Amino acid sequence: MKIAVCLKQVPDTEANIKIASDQKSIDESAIKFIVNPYDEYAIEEALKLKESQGAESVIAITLGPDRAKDALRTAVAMGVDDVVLLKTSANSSDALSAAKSLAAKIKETGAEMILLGKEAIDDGSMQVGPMLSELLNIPCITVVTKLEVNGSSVKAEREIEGGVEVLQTTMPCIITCQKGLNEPRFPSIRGVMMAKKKQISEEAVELDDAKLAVSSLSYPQSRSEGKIVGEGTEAVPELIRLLREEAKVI
Amino acid sequence: MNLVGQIVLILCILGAVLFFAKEIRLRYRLVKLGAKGPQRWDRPVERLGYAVGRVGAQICSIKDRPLVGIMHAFIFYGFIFFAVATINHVTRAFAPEFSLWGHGLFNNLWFLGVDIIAILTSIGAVFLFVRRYIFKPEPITKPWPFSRSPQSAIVLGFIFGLMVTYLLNQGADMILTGKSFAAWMPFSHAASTLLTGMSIPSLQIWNAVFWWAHILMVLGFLVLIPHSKHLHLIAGPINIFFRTREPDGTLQKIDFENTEEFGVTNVNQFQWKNIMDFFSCVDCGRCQDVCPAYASDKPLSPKVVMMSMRKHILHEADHLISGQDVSEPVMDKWQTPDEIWACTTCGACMETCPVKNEHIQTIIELRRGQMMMENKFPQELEPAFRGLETNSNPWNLGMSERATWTEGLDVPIMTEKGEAEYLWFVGCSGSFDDRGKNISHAMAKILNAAGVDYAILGTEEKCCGDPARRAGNEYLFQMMAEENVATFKQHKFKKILTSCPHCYQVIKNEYSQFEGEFEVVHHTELIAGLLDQGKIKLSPNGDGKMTFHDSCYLGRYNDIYEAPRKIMKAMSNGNLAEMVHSKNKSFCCGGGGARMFMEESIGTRINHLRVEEAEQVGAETIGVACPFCLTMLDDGVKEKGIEASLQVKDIAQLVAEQLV
Amino acid sequence: MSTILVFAEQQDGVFKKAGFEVVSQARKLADESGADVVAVAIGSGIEDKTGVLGEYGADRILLADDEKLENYNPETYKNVFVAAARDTKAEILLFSATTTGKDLAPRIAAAMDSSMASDCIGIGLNDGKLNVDRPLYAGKVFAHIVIEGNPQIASLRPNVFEAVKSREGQNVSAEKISLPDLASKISVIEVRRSGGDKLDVSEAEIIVTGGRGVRGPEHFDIIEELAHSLDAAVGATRAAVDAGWRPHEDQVGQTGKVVSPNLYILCGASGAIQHWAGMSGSKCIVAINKDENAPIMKKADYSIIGDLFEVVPVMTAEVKKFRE
Repeated sequence: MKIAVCLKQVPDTEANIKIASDQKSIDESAIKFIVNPYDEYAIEEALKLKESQGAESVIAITLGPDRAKDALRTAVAMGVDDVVLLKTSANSSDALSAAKSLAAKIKETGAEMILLGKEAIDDGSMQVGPMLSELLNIPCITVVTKLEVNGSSVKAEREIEGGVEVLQTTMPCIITCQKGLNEPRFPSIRGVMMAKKKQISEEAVELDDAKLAVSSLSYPQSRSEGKIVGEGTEAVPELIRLLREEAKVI
Repeated sequence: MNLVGQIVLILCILGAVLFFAKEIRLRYRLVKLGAKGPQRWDRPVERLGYAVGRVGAQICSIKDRPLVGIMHAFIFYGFIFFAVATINHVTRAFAPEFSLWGHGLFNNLWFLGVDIIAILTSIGAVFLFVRRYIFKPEPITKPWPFSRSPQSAIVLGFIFGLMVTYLLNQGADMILTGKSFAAWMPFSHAASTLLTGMSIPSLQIWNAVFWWAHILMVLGFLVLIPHSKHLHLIAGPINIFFRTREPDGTLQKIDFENTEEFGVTNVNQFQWKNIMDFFSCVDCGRCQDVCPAYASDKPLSPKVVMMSMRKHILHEADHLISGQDVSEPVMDKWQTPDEIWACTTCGACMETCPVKNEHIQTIIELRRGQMMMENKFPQELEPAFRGLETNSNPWNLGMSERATWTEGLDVPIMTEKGEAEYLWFVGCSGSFDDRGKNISHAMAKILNAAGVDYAILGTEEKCCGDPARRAGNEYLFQMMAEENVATFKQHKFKKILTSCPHCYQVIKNEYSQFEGEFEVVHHTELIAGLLDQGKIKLSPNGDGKMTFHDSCYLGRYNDIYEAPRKIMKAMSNGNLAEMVHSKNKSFCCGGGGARMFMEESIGTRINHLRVEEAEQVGAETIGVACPFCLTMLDDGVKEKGIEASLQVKDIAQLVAEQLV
Repeated sequence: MSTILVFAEQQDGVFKKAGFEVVSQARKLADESGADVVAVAIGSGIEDKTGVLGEYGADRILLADDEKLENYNPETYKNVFVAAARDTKAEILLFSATTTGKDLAPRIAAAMDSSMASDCIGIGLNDGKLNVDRPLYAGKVFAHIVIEGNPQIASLRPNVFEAVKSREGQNVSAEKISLPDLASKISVIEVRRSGGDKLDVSEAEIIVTGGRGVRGPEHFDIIEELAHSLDAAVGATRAAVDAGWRPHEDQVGQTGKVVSPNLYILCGASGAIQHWAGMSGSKCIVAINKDENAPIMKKADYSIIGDLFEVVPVMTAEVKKFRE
């Protein structure tokens, strides 16, 4: 069995995002990029499956510009066997064209288990996993918090609103990973040093013409730094209203 | 003595000496087999002078335990004298009249000296025996089973026996030869009075018994030395000669390009000096006595680290000598994770060690091995490592936020100002932690009031790397160090000002390993100078009692004790108390050695112990000079619920409050 | 006449509010462009419950009702919806960005070779093209996006758009559609509704945390009650864990768990850096603290100055009120 992990390099969660002068993209100059945290669950799960199922190898695939090689190096440091960069000239906000490039590469690798994060924290679209399912015509289970593989049979627990759904399918299949699935390992220093020297293979890809285009970016209305809603119990109804209507978190 | 006796004597001496030599050679080879490290042959004359002075005057043992030290000194001088006296003793088997010094006045003086020393040594031996086996002080009797070996009893018994047999032998000799040395050998003479009335033949027999007993004990001692802590007789002075001349706790650089093994996982990876340390340990427990981890019931005792490693390396001696792999790794049988991760790197152990052992280096080498080779370390450190890697601060807060503390203040940024006398390295606490930011705000106020020419790096600044290095993540540390050194070199400044003693230590003493030589000033030094020059003036407000808590990295590591005290005195109207542990004996806050970023779940809290010391002297304010100390002690005060009566503030904060 | 096809999501036979929101929004768009709103209802035994969709503005209701469709199954639902989309030649497909919608919509998009925008918080038509606004980088930036192609697909963030019964009383009867093959490579073995299970802080989307100010383990029940009312996990600061009030697994912070929920409510804690480092990634932070000078009060998005023992129980009551 071969396992493929699709991962994405994204700006660090703490990064200060600034809109570039073209008003359509962000200024990357002062941004530190990291492996999308949800993809780390995917890498960890792949490595665990390799250990438990005796899989042949784990390949990590990423789509992105040259800097995305760093994300692949992190994967190597964690223990992934092979990596490939599908090198794009431009950042696309269209998940479908990204999924098409990834699907072609996955097919080539012959991987039977494809793991990826449930979403990338940059655009938060949550589309690539389910789209791969259509493009490759294999089942996909999303937002998985527990995974059991037994031969070719796959059992997964998936987070749904107000509960958990237990699903079963067979390989080949796609799993998108949610936090709680595992604790991603910290890359060993030896791994990091090995990864530094690793030759990263790259293939240039041309993305489909996107049917989806960002026409402009804007900042949200600046939330004033800390709003004291009030004092004592009288302030509670207003707080609840703000949480529902302004922050929209409950 | 008849021929048989002489032959037996020669055989005994040969046997003991050969055995001794063989055992010493084994240890010498084990040291030589240790990994390469700094050779420490620089300034040999100075080193020799230091070692001779230290040992000769017995400063090593007297300095922290005067009474015990003086008793130890008696025994030490006893050894020196008896080493020579034994030559006389042995030669008498072949030439009864022979004496090294002839038969003049000097010879008489010599025997007088030996006589007195014999008594003092006996007193010393009895004293130490009573102390160890009757009073059983903790530092030398705990933890079991390391410190309850009968070896010390045997050795002290030998020493006492040596003296007694010497005096009796000399006393018997006096009667038998009829030569009275009563004036020159008063104690031997006194011993002879015990023997008066004995018939000549039985006296002759007893004389021989005393003589043989004496020499056999000497030889027995020789056999025992290499196997026991008494190896320190030989290893100790040599170890002092090879002492580190850098500030205690300064760590060595790993050359990642040219080595495959980082730190120590197997005992054969220790450097020669580490192994010297193991063989030099005296089991005196001075280190254990001052160790904050031990005091707070953590399973760490610095002496046990040394003794356990000594046991381990001897256990592996056959493998090591024959060039085979070691049979087992250091962890977890010979050291446990809870031990090595409990160290705060406060350096109290190294400060007090009579043989100048470098406990911290050994502990950090083990951490390095665990961290970098085994990928095993307390899980709580992971976010700190990630934070340093991604956002250059251990809390993983956005690096773009590093200079936001300056908002609303007039704090110049280096890139905008161009050049400045002081490059103020604010540090992560001063930039991100609210309590640390209070220090930065205070410092900015002081600098501006005094008109100091300074600038900060702003978002160019990165963590100095101290927590990573102390946690054994040397790789990450070197990344931070190299980046900071490169940034420093891009700017024009004369000195680097730090508010954090950890930044101070690392930039001043460790960045030189990365081609970064900088003059570094801690803010307490700068403030003390500004007060001297009259550039700032204080109006002490209130008369509450203050105390100053020395930061380990400022005090013990870098000998800055007076500057902060000068400021504290100026601020407290003279109402400044010293805690029971202060200056070079100061007690750690618990935050060093990356402990700041780990859980403290075993035993009691180090910060609580320290806060209690401040309470004992009735302080209302603890002045600190380190953001880690501020956090740890302030937490301690809050956890104890005494924040209404005891406040913790950085000296800079206190100064800013009193600024006129 | 163009068609806007809407997925009207139900669970256990009850249509969800999120679905009504999308129908209502589709109605608005349709009113601007003169299109038809067609709702697709998929489930088992839901025929008599579809009527309400008409009240929210659906012109037609397509019903796929079959035992095999009782629980959401990505493949069967997708097949049903794609068939409906092809039949109606819909030009715009709208979903709600619920767990189900997020799973389903991209499959349909790929099956129909169309791009889509998820989790939109603004939507409009311009020149016949769907224009949407959606957050990027966890809401640090908003993107204005133009969707092209046919069909144009988007999912809308729940609780953002209003559900309006614009056609109160209107009765639209459901049209049963012919079902495609309902075979699936995925089978649902079990659905477990949560309740009673202790939520783990590292997985929860809402966390209520108590600090030193809670003053003892026995007082954590008021924290737990608020958490329960919000389906939230209970967290603790290091001080509370060190004091032995809560287990270490509940600890949030630098040396505990690093979390980034949607909502983080901190009660009776100052928000010192060791804690802040563990939860600063939360999307919305609420602080309840007596001390208005506590650092957290400046950093929290919303804060109430007050005694947590008074404020928290009232919060619980208020939350229960609107959740009912």
